[in-house]
Amino acid sequence: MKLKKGNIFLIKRAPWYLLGIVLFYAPFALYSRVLGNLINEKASIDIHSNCLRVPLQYLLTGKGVALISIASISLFLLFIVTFFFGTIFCGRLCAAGAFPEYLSRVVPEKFKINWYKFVNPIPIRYGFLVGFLITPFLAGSIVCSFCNLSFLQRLINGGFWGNFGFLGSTTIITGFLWLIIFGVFTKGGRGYCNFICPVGAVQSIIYSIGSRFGFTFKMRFAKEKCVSCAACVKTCPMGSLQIQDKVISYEKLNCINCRQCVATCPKSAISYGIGKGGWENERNIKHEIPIPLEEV
Amino acid sequence: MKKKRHEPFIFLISFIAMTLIAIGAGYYKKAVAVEQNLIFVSKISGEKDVGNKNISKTTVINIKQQGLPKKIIQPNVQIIKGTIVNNGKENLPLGLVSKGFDGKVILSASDKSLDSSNGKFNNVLKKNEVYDITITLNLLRDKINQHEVSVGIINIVNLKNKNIIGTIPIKVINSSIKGSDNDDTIKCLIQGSCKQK
Repeated sequence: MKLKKGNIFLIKRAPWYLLGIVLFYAPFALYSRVLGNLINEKASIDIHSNCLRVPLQYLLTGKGVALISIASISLFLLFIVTFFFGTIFCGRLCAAGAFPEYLSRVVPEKFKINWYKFVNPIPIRYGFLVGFLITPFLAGSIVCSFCNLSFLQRLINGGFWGNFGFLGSTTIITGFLWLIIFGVFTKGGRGYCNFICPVGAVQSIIYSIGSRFGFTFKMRFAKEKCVSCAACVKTCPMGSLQIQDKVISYEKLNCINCRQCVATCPKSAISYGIGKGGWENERNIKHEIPIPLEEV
Repeated sequence: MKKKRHEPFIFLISFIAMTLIAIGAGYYKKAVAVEQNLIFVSKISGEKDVGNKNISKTTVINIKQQGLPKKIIQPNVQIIKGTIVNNGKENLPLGLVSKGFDGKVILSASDKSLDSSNGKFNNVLKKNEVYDITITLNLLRDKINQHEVSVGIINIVNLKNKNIIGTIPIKVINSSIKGSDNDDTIKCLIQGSCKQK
C-alpha cells in the first residue's frame, strides 16, 4: 500500500508533537523543569506551569505578569518565535491541537463537517478572543474552565483510558467540543484551535504582522507553478486555504504553519521560507475591498 | 456581488455573536463551577478536641448545581479542597481519617506530602503553616438519585497521641430530589454513636 504524500508528512510531523508532550506535559515537563531551575521558580510539573493563556489574559487585560517567571518568559519567547518563524508552536509543538487532528484522520470524510464552507473562521476566532478578554470583568475568567491543554494533561495522567479525576461540567463540554464536535467530526480536526484558542489567535496576529517583512519566515506562493488542483485546500487542517474560481486564497489569521500544504502540493507552488509571500489576496488586496455603490 | 455586499455584515454578526458566546460561557462557568468554591479551612492547635468544638463548617456539595453535563457523565466523583492551618505553638505530625462516606475516599495534598494509602502526612505541620488538601469522593452511582447522596467526616488526628484535634464534615446532596436536610448523620458520626460503613 502506498501512502499519500499528505499522510507521510502527517507521520513526519508526529515526533514534533511527541516532543511537545515531553517538553510541556507531566510526567516529563522538561521545559518547565529546566527553566524553573534556571530562574529558581518552584514550578508544578505539568502543563499548568507553562500555561500561556493565563499570562496572555493578564497581559491583555492590564493585570500584568511578573517579568522573571516561567509564564512571562514563555509568552515572550512565543511572541519572538512567532514574529520570525510564524505560528510554528501550533504547527509543530502543540499536542493539544494535534491530537484531534490525528484522531480525525481515522474518521471517513463523509462524516465530517467542513465548517469553513459555511462560516468564516476569522470573526469567530477573534470574537472569542475579545469575549475571552472581556469575561474576567463580567463573569469571571474562563481560562481554565474551557482548557483543552488541561484536558490533554488529564488524558495523559489517566493513561488515556484510566482515571481522569474530577470532571466539572465545563471540562466535559471542553472535551466534547475539542475531541468530538470540533475534533473528529470536523474537517481537519482543528475546530477548537480555529474557533476557541486565544493563544493561537494572538499568535496569528503576530504572524500576520511579521510576515509582511522580507526577513521573516512565512508561507510563500508561486502562482506560476499552481495548477489549481486544490490538493492544498483539501489537506489544510485549519481551512486557511480556499479555492474560488480556480484562485487559491490564503488566510494568515488562522494559519498554523503546519506546512501540510507544502508537502502535499504536487507542483511545489507553496513553500515556507523568507522573502515575499506572493499570495493572490496579498497582491490584489486593494481590488478586493468592497466599494459601496454610493461612493462610485 | 450580492454575496460580497453582505460579507462585512455577516462578519460583524459572527464576531459579536462569538464575543457574546464567550461571555455567556463565563456566566455558565460561574453558575456551575460550585465545586471551585467548596473550600474549607480547619484551624487546629494540637490540643484534644474535648466536646467537639473544633468542627469546621459543613461543606455541602449539591449535584443539582453542577450542571447537566456533570450530572450525566460523572455525578459520582466529587472533590472538596481546603486547608488545615496549624494555629498551635508546636509542630504537629498529622493524619486524616475518613468516616461514613458511601464509596471510596481519596485524600491528597498539593505538595504530595500526604500518603493516600494510610492518610498520614510525611512531614510535620509547622506552626503557622498550612496543608492544602483535596478530598476526592468516588460515590456509589445508585445513590445519586437520593436527596442525601453521602455524608461523612474527615477527622484530623495528632499522630503523636492519636487525639482527634479537628473535624471536617462533608455532605453530598441532590436537591433535584426532595428530602429533608438535617445534620443527624454528621452529629452521630462525630459522637461515634452511629455504625461506621
